[in-house]
Amino acid sequence: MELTRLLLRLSVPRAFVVTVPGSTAIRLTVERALRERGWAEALSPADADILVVCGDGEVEMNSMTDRVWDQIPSPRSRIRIVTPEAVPAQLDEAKSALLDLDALRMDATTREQEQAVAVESASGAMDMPAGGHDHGAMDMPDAGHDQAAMTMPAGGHDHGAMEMSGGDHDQGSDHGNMGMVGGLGMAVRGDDRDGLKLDQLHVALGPVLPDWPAGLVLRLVLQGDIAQSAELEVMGENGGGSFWMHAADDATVAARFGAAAAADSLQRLLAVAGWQSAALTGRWLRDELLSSDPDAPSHPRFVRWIHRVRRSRALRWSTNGLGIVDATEPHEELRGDATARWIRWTNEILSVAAPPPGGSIALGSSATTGRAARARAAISLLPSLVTGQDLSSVRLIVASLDPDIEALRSQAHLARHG
Amino acid sequence: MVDGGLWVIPLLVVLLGVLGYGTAAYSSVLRSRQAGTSWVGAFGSPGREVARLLLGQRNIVPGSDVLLARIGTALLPLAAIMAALVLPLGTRAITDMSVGVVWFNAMEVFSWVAVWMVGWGSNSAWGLIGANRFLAQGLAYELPQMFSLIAVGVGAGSLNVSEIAAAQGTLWYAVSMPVAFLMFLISAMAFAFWGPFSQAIASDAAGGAAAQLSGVDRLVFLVGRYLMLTVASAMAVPLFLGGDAGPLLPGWAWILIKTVLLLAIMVWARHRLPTIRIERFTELSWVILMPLTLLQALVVSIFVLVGWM
Repeated sequence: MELTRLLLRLSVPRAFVVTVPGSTAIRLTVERALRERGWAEALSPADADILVVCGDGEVEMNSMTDRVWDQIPSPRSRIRIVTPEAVPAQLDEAKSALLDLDALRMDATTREQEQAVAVESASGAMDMPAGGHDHGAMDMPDAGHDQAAMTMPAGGHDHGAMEMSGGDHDQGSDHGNMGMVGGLGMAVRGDDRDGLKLDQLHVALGPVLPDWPAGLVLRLVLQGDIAQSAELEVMGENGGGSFWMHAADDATVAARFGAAAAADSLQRLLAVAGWQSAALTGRWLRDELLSSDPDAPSHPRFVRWIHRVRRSRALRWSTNGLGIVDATEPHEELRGDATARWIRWTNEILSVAAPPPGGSIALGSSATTGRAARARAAISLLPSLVTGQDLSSVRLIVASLDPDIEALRSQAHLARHG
Repeated sequence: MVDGGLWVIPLLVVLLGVLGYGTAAYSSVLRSRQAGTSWVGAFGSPGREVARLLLGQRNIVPGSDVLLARIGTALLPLAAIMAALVLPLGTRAITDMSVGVVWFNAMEVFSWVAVWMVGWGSNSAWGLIGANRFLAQGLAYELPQMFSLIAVGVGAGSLNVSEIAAAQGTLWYAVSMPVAFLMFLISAMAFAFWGPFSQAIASDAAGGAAAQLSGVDRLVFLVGRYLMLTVASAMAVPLFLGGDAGPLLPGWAWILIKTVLLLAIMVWARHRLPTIRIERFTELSWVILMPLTLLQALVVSIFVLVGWM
């Protein structure tokens, strides 16, 4: 008992951050607070202790966060943050909930009972062998080879075989116990591009995925890790507007805001490219750009950082030739390959962090103008760009386009009402 | 088989553990510097992470192969410790077998099957993708690494680790066989899926093979990974850096200093480089590293035949 308390006090919690579309301001505050506290972010619910939901959810989003909650191992706590001001207090609250031993034990016990009931009903109702279920029906509604565990489809939560998301479940050949493992359906095979028959995995990227644009859902059919087809969906309600579109009158402030938007996109791309260190500094710079201190972003460490990222041959090598958008695309910012796009972000950040001597600050393009139109163009390009690519390329292509779903939604709202 | 008594084995494990902890602590210090937070607390952060993982519930996904995943998890630290048995500590290894290099190589390859079992056993698309990536990575690094080990063995005329260290005399193999040395460092990071070669557990696949690990399973897996990295660095010392050779200080101190230095280089590489995509690494490996290491082995063989080595 005492040892448990000691370990609880010693451990630094890991947060799994879920952003409801339209809550960028809250996400930025949360990310800043986590960075300053030294709390790491979990890549998957299995590695998390605290579920942080940024923003007030819509119904669809709520059911997804509930599923993520079910996947977080005990001891755990969850918070929903609806205003940026509440972030520090609510994080403290989540941490102190992780010290309340009695409540944690109660949570773990109720959970075990619920799971036992769920397993029983699942095995009873579907006449399925209940083996291998000792802890889990609630954990992973769809963890089979047909669905990535953490990016659940927008289906019910009734656990199991009936919930094949892709709709490709071959009723004829695959029914019954032969095609079932632990009450879940097995993957179905299909022809791949090389004329082989390989398992098809239906994986939905987003909306609950770290370093992913909030509100974007990309449904992939994977064979191996190659995306054979891609379908795109946008979540979230209309209206609200994008955090990055709040126009400023002052040109300097607007430029800083634009650079902060570029830094936010760049840190996300760096994280996806597996360069956590550089991504962290990118977040730090983004937070400084959004702060009121005029000199902070020009600190030599940030200038050094941008130059290091720009010079990185390894990063260029990784992103070269990915997601090429030809010169006929009306939005200049989207043209070229992934490398060309992230280099543009560094240019924009440099123009604020290290402005050329004597030169005036060029007004950033990322901030206000054309964000919505650019997001729409990016979204229409995405499915064709990612088809035939492997998963890491798909992630890099999406990160290099980084469509602002919030901007898109606010534009749709204006069009309807204006 | 065992020289110096069985008590050396726990000592070895403790030593590896301390070095592994130091590696993790140094890495988190660098991380805190990049994040703009205090680096003082970073020394303790691996310990705090251990406390967190000791408390966590073990995650079991429906339909997952629990036994397979757990064997894979446990295999990683075990393989690292077995590989360390042939490391010369001071003057002698715990078991100074005549084919020490081959033994090390065989143990290190266990990380392939360990990561694969963990990824496949987790019954998640992310785990499967991470496991597949690691197999591709293994195929890419293993052959060039073997050629560089062959170069070392031919140069020393022995596969015994202590004899290889002794054979280097004044000119270390890191200097006379630079390609082999570089390849060994690359492969060390690759089989510990570290830094630029961490695609198997990469963030773009939500943690890849380790996506579904929690609690003590994750702890064992991560400990195994740090042990692998430490053992690989410690192995590079007798193979390429003259073992315990060095002025003034006693031999064991030199071994320690050289190992720590190599570990520092690997941590630095992790913070300085993005992950290299598997597609790119296989290309690099088969097109550039493989011919280069073959050439290295050929040059060493010719030198030995001519009598220059």
